[in-house]
Amino acid sequence: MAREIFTAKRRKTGDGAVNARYKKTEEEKPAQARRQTGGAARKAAAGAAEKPAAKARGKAAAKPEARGAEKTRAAQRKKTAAPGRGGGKKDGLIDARMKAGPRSAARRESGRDRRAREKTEKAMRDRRRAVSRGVDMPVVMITLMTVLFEAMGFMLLAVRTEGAVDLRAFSLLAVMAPLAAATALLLPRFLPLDPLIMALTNFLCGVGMVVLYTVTPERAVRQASYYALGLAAMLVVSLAVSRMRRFRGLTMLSMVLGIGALLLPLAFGSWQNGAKNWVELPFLGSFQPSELVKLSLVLSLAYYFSAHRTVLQMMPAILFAGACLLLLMLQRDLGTALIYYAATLVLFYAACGNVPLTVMGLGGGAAAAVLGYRMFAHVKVRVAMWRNPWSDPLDKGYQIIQALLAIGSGGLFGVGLGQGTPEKIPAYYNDFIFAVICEQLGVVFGLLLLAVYLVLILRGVSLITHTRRSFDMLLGCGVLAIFAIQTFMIVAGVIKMIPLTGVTMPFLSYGGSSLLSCLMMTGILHGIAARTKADMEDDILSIKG
Amino acid sequence: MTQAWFQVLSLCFGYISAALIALIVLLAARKYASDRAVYARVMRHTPQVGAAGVLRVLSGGRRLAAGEELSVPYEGTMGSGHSCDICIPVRRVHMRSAFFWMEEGRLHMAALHRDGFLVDDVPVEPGDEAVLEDGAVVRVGDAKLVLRLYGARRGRGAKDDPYVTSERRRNARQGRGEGIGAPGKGEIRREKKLMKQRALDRAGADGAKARKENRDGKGSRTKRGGAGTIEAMETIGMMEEKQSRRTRR
Repeated sequence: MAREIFTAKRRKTGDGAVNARYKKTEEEKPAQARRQTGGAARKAAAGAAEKPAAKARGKAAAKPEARGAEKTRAAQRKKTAAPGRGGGKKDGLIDARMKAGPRSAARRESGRDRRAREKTEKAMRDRRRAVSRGVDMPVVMITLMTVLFEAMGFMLLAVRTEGAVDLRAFSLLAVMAPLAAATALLLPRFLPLDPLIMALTNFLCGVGMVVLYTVTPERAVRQASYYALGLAAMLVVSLAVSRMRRFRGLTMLSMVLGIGALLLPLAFGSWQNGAKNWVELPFLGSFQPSELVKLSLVLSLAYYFSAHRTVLQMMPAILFAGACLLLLMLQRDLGTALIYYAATLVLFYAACGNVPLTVMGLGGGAAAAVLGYRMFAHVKVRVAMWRNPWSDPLDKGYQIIQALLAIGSGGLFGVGLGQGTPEKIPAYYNDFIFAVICEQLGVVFGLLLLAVYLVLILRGVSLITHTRRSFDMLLGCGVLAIFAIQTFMIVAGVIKMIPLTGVTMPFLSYGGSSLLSCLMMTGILHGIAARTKADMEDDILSIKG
Repeated sequence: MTQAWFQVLSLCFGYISAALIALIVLLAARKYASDRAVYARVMRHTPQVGAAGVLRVLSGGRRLAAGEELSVPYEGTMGSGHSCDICIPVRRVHMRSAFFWMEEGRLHMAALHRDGFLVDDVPVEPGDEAVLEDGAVVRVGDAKLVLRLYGARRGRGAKDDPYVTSERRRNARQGRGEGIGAPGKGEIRREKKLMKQRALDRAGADGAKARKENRDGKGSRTKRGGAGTIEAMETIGMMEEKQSRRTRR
């Protein structure tokens, strides 16, 4: 990203110090060529390169190229000597402001620094060439591999049935592969998108789609339409975050809408798997409001935690989070409630660094967990099955046992795509998709998939640490906290590290609401990346004059 | 395709996909690391990027040597805590002493702790909002620092952040209290206290003078102690009226 900023800067500042150096190099080339041919030109060029300007002017009067080279060099010397300009590389601007002394920054620059600077500039130059050709090699390679994975997977699944070709698989491939290529390679040129995050997101969605197609092709087709819709929503969110300057109205609106959305299942929802968190809509089908309210939660927490640092002034967001938690408890959607609670706590700590209050919050969460354990029967069952699923292997502990057996039967490299018996696991297409992946593609693939999540989150962390505004930082922090907590909760639940909670795996699990909210949250990260990039670009342009 | 062939190919797909994802992880990690390295290099050669200026230490302590420079981001907190954006590990500096933000090329700073801090020897307490320009001297705890804002940042800054709300801006434009740059509650309270103290001192001085004159046999008894106190009370009344008028306006 930073490379791109430097590149952009170079393109904009045609007469910058760095460009002057490149001009000089370009103009020296003919002079060097003439030097090789010999004669008066050789003398003139050599004089222009080594002797003082006055002497060189006399000798090389007849040679306009040599004169040009000398002019450029003189301009270069002038720029280098001027404090506070691009020539004073490391801290020229500060020193000029500080009036630290008569010695210019350029003179104080040591040989080691100069070498390091030249190395950086070389890297920038290479980067500029690469970008001008439209090649960002790692991203291109990741996208190509994503397309290859999808192509191989869907083509294999298309010919699975003997004597017939499944055209749906080809149609899915025709949708997924161009979308992956366009969003990771083309759109970042015109829209505020981070190529690496986009490429990794596409890969995760592609894996989810291929594995989903092996077990329920109809759901995979529906998921593909949600994916396309989610990408559009992601672009809108990304543009909004990168362009908007006032978030007050949006925050208020999202808080009101969030509470309203969480009330919907209580009023019109129906009980499913011990929770009442789904709403049936006439044309859109069923959706889970708590997935979309995650965006409201992150926005409100980031706004109030960044705007006011006293606990009293943070209260609107804390009250909103508390109201959301209460409504989720009433819906008995404890997994989502846990995500909300943990994200709130992480953001609170990130905003104010108040350890005693954070510890108190943790204590409150623990007390609420104990209360939930005593109040809700299904929580007791889940904890009991987590401790010993073999106590009731055919009923309560069935799904966790099946998931563990699936992971175990997959081995290191899996039983093969479309093989095995994933349909024996209840909720194999959403909560237990990780077990299905491990069965079909192996534990090695599963672990590397977690590594992809890790890189995605690390990339996000690296983006938010460079932001200028605490609002941006907290917004990105909330998104990353939700991704990390959700992934940990479901993977740890599936491998029986913690009691199972009914949450989806980001980007992989089947579910329109989940995929939509995940892609929209990715859009927030893209927007923050664009804002940070623009800020840095401004800084570099203003520093270099 | 026969079932046997499908099994063989799907097994192959398992191995190939493991190799593909391993490559993807490696490439992504490489891209992440190279971008971070480039950013670090950019920051090494242009430390001004992402910073509004520096706070140069004039006098600190054992852990903060004089001459050291602390980078000032566009907004954040200042204090002795490690989580602060400007960490001042000096005696008598609170964990989170102040928070600050850039606006219109100036650094706004508000106290978070009751001890507050001094800007050019003017105390800033909770409720106040100090507006610092280039060269302002900040004294917090035992540390004394001078602010140097980068010249290129003048007139720019994170003005679109939610710290300064539209209400504050409106108040500031209309010259009301609690606006940007307007005297905060602490400042008004301190001004009142100062005026009262001055008036009482003057009254005390007049009274002492009158008592001395009485002792010396000069002056009249009626003058003793009264006039200075009345004058002081009048001054305080005028001050309060002025303040209330200002607030009303």
